[in-house]
Formats: sequence, C-alpha cells, structure tokens
Amino acid sequence: MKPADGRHLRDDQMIAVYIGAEPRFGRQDSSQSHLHWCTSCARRYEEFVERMTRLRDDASAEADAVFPPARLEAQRLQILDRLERASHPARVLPFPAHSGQSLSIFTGNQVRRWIAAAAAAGLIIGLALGRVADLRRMMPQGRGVHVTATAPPRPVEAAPRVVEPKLNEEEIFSRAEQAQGRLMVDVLEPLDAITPQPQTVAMTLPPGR
Amino acid sequence: MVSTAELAAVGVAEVSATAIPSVESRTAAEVKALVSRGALAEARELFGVIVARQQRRAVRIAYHFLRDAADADEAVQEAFLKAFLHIESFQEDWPFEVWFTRILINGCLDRRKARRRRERWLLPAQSTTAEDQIRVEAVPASGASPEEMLLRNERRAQVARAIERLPNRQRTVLLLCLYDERSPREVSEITGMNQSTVRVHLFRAVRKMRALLEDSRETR
Repeated sequence: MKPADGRHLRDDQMIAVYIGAEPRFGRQDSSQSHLHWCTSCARRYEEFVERMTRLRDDASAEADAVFPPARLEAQRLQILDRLERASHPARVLPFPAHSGQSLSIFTGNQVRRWIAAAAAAGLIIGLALGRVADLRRMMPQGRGVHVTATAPPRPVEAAPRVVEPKLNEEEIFSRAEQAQGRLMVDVLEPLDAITPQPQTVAMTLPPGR
Repeated sequence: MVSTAELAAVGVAEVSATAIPSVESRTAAEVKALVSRGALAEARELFGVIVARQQRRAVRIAYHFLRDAADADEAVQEAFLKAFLHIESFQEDWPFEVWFTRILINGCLDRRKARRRRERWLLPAQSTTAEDQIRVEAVPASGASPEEMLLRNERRAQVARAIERLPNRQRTVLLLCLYDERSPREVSEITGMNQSTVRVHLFRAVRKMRALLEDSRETR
C-alpha cells in the first residue's frame, strides 16, 4: 500500500520510532501511525527491530559464554571473600605499655642497669665496627691483601734520582756506533778466525790466474 | 551538542518514575540497616544474595564495555565491593540496580581510560585469553555448521568494532539501552545526563551502528 504523501519513512524516522515505540521508552511517536497502514515500511521496520534484537541476544550469548555458571560461582565466592577481608581490617597489636611488669624477677633498678649496659655495649660494638669499616674502605681494592690495624704501612724508600748528563746528538750517535762495533767484533771474531784472509789466498794461487 | 531538530526527532518526553522499590532495593535497604547496626556477618550474607542475582547482568555490561574477560571480572568484583563498603550512602528511593550500575559503569570507564593510557606507552595487552576466545567461538556449539559459526564470529567482531568506534557517551547509552534494556530515565540516572540527551545519544548511536553494519555488509 502506498502512503498518502507518496513517501516512506526515512531510516532516521524509523530509528526514532524504534527508540520511542519501545514500551520501556515510555512514549508513542507520531510516525508510528505511518507503520499501521504502510506495509512496506512496516516490513522494513520489523526487519530493523529483528536485527537489533538479534544483536542484543547475540551479545548476551557471547558474554554468557565467557562467563559460564562455574566462573560466576567462583567470582561470587571471591567477592564474598573480599567483602569479609574488607570488613575486617588488619588488626593492630597494641604495644605493651608496661613491659617491665611481666618480668617479675627483675626490679626496676636492675632493668635500668641492664638497659644501660646493653646500650653501652652496643655503642662500643658500633664504634669498633665503624672503625673496621673505615679501615676497609682505605684498603687497596685487590683481594687477599691484609693489613693489620696496628702496623702502619711502610713508606716506600725513594730511589736515588739519577741525573743524566745532557748529551748532544753527536755523542749519542758515537756511543751507539761504539756499542754496535763492539758487539759486531765480539760476534764476528770466531768467524774471522776461520775465514782465510785475502792476502793469504792471493799468495797461494798460481801466478796468471 | 544536541540540536533541537534531533530532540524533536526523538520526541523528548518525561517518564514518571516508578515509586515501588524493587526487590533488590528492599534487600539493599536491609543490608544497609544491618551494617548500621554493626551486624556485618549478616549484612555480608544478605549482600551475597544480591550478588548472586545481579552478577549475570553485571558481567554482561562489564564485558561489553571492556571486551576483556579478566578486566570485566575484576571490574564486577570491585563494583560489588564498593557497593557494599558504601552501602550507607545508598538511598532507598533509588533503584539498587541503577545505583549499582552507576558504580560499575564508572569503574569500567576508568579501566578503559587506564587501558588507553597504557597502550599509548606500552604494547597493547592481549584483549581476550585463548581460553575465552574458544568459549566465545563455540557458542552455540550445537546445531551450527562451521561456516555458520565462522560467519557469526565475524559478525560479532564487526559489531564489537562498530561499538568500539562510537564516542564514549554514545557507547555507554547504547550498551545500557540496547544490551541492558534500561530506559532513558534509568540511563539518565546512571550516567548523570538528562533524558533528552540520552535519547539523542541513543538515536545517534543506533544510526551510526546501522550505518557501520551496513558498510561492513557491503564490503564483505
């Protein structure tokens, strides 16, 4: 059936009808009357509503699949457990106000003396440990080096400083040559001894050669 | 900003509030009385009844908001915990469901915000565990062919993406009105928006969803 004005409901109007026509939304839209006599729009509207309903049902099914009854039960127990813990905040134990009373074998003076002695001992131990810690810090980093606290480190004797006379270039070279020559002679002397001399060779050769 | 044309399109009308308190509201009022008397064990026990009745609804809302089972689980637990610890601020003339949903939604929005911030600086976390994914994909396990299941899962993913792309307010209104079947008045109380704004956001969200779903169908 064709509408009187020749026009069908637009999508926007249909959505407005959907929002308004739902009983929980509490109002009746004027466009709704159009749906009563326009079969084409009524069919479109039905499809739209069906699609939205399917969307909702599918979404619920999806969430229900993720949270099966066993998981919900576990969650409920966790909630109750957390509620119980939240209702009972951590108990704070009161610090004993008169601890001395429970130690009936000690009199007030004795307790005070013991406390003073313990404090003094603690102070001495603390000082000693502090001293040791200082010494350790001063020690070289290498392992296995032990330095006794009583033995002060021996001062290293300074080696006598040799003052080299200033040499000029000529002297340096001549010394080098001397050293080289001396070395060469020493090494070559045995070799020289077994090597025939040129004069000796010339005398032994026959004449004309 | 809501235009007057849109307001006219959705037809703003005030709905009278139901004066009869719900079962949950009465139970919550009893819990409140027990807490104020110092009978905490009894109050907890009675509150456990509310938890059992509202839990399913709460996990559905939280799951659709967060799309992460572990996050939704934690959000629901915290919401119930907060509701119990602040039960003295509950007003009997308010429906408990509305009051509780407000706590839950605020928690979910905070979590979404924190997640976005985290993802901006760090790698995005795995949205759903493999076990949950299997559960989701297997629903309904009977009577559906593998092709049907595949198509359904694809459609779910499209819907989830479409909802994810909605602005915060539109998403909230859509999820509460469409999925949780709350009236605009209840959504108005939950979110603090006025009813006309709720209707306009709902209208826009449905229109956008429809467009997005049509787009995805065409591109398929």
